[in-house]
Amino acid sequence: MSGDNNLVDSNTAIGNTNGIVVFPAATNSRIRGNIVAGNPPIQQSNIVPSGVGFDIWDQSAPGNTNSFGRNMCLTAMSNPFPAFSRYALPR
Amino acid sequence: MTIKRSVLAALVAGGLLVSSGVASAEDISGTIVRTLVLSETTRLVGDVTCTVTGGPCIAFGAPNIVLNLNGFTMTGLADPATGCKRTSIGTYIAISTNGQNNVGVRGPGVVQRFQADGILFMASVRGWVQGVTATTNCMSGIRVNPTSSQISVEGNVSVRNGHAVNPCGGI
Repeated sequence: MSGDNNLVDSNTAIGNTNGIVVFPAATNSRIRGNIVAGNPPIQQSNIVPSGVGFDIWDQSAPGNTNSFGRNMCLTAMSNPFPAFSRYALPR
Repeated sequence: MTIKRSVLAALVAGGLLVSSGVASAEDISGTIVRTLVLSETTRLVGDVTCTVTGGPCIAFGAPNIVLNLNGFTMTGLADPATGCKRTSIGTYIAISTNGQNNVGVRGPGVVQRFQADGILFMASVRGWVQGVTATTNCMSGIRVNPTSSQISVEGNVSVRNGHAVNPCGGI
């Protein structure tokens, strides 16, 4: 996800090489209430051990004012996760 | 009588096969062999198979319109296991907003087996995608490019998308 002032809300991302990727050019965007787990899938991790993948991968600069909240994920890069949301995520 | 039968056969064939160009019809189903450019709000009325190479399967050609997947499936040419057919090809996109503003893709529906992105917001302002399942696409299931803004990605499911080499993935 890149661009400006975008919203990623209440999605489910499972078994991808990465779950949600926030690219360096992303600004002022909100990523909230998503369920993001099992990225990358275990099969891929075993086959490509050097491959890099996360549930949420924030590549944006610290000043880009993207916000994350109420997401459920287990692995993350450059982000306050991993953490389970303390809030219910109804589906 | 022969002429009437021929015309009828052509109409029936036309209804089953979307061949190309700007879509003037509201309903899509069957096989798409060249990029279909939407000029008005459109819906799927059956599953779609895309054999398009070198460009998106469906591209928006006007602002302020919607593509309704209507519970049907769009399937590309990649293999069902990885979605990649060995490698990603950046132009083999299922649905591209193609620089149009205020356009949307509404589910439920499935977008699968494309060698690039499932749904790509390309240079668009105020777009949205809701309720779509994107699976086994070689790049991202849903991607918003750097020149797009005010895009809403809500309530979608993205499963088994991405390529081990590129930092792509679900969204």
